Amino acid sequence: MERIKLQSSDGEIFETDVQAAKCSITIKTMLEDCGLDEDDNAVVPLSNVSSNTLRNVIHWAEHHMDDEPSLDDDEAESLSNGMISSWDKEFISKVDQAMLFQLMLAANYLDIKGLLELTCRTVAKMIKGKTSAEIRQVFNIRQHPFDHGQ
Amino acid sequence: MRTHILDLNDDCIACVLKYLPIENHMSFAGVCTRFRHVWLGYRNCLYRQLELGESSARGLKQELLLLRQISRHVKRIVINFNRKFDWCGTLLTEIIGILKKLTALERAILWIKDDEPYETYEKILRAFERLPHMQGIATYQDNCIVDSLYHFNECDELLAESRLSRNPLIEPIDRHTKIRLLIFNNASIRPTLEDLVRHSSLVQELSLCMIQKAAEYTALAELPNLCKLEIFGNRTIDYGSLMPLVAAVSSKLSQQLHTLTIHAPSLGYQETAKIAQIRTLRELDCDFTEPRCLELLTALGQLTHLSIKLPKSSPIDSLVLNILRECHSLNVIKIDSPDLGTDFLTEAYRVLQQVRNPNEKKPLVIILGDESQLIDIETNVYLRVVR
Repeated sequence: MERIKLQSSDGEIFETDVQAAKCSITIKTMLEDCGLDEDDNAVVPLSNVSSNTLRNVIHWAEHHMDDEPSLDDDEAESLSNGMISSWDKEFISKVDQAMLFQLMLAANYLDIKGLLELTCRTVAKMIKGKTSAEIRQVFNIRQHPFDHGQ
Repeated sequence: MRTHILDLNDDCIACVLKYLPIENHMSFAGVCTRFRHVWLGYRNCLYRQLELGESSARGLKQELLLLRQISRHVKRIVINFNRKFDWCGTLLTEIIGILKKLTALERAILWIKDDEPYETYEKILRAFERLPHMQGIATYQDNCIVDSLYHFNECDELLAESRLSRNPLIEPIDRHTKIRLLIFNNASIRPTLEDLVRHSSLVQELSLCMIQKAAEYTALAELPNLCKLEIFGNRTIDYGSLMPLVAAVSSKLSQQLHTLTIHAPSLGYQETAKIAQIRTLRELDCDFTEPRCLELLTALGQLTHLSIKLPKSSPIDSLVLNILRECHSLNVIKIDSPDLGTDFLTEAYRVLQQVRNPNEKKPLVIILGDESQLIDIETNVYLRVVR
């Protein structure tokens, strides 16, 4: 199995399967465009992702690297079935709110559809059925005086 | 520094909205100015396609509140009017008021119960009819049996038929329903059907008369539980190639379809080959363009009822006899063709003697159609071959 090195924003280097790394469309494109595919010692710098976050991202990606790629245009379908696998549930229940948002940002930056969906669904579940005031409480959002009456 | 929800970029915040039931969107937009700005900025892409599901009365009010704010952005809408609370009173007036503002709307799929009062049905339909960009409306009820899929070009015609079917003398049959499609300015029926099948999970039986090109109807093969499909057509309409429709039915329903009827547009050899792949078929009733299509039907070993119609060409006796030889489950075969020889019945009798055990199977019923006059004018309506 081919390996690849990824470097977090704080300089830590992680080694993982190329296939797991390619869950990220950003990395996949980078490898293909720069021809890093053939270079065994290449290190891919990810300046937007901290080591703590990257560790979690890799953990998630290594579990999902054999998943069938989902079809882009079938978005409606994936929205409607809304199932989160038990592995994903377990994975996401172990991270705190701050890490949840970091993972979401990382998934957005790295273009990892499945992880972005998982984190967004998790946040949506925390919001579902709540009033604006309750949502503020859950996420510790201070209401700006300007917001009164909205 | 710990990452806070407000550290998310706008794309991420908007992405959360994609997974949030729409009845919660207004609460979301009311959390803070940042959320509100994101919500305003992404309205255009978030709400192009909207679904008002099965929420409670309170949920529906929230949905309407949202709809009022985003009315200019919605292009496709699915509304489930089959709610567990009364929405036909003041709520209906409010709904109609908002529907009239959906100025960008192109397609609507409306789940309306068959026994909903005609007045309610009419009010809703009229509200949609007047929208400037409408291409198609479908009204339906998710149900096991769709007796007919009606197609209308005029709202008045649709309402007239719908009023008639709500006549108090006509009792609605449980599990049966109708789908009514209203298509504007000869727009393609395809996108409306695609939206519709996504929301019709229960349909097992469907009967329809095609009005547009056959390829427009391929989405019907996506009905997840469909096992009986009847397609009728008018000989004066050019349906184009049947292949896209037949191929879709064959590939999507080959494990489940047990009854298939295709009348008017005749099946060619290639199309019949696709049909012959649906091994689950028990009843098949089709028109064919040429005798060699019959060669392929021998693959359908589970057939109990077979009805074939052919134009005049060359003798088909041996082809039909082959079917009798291979399809051991057949109970009834109907043949409508001028090309059966005079001694066909004698031959059939011989074949059946070889392949059929009279102690296990009832006699095969052979029905000869109007075209099959060569055999015996006296008995061309119905013949029974016993043993």
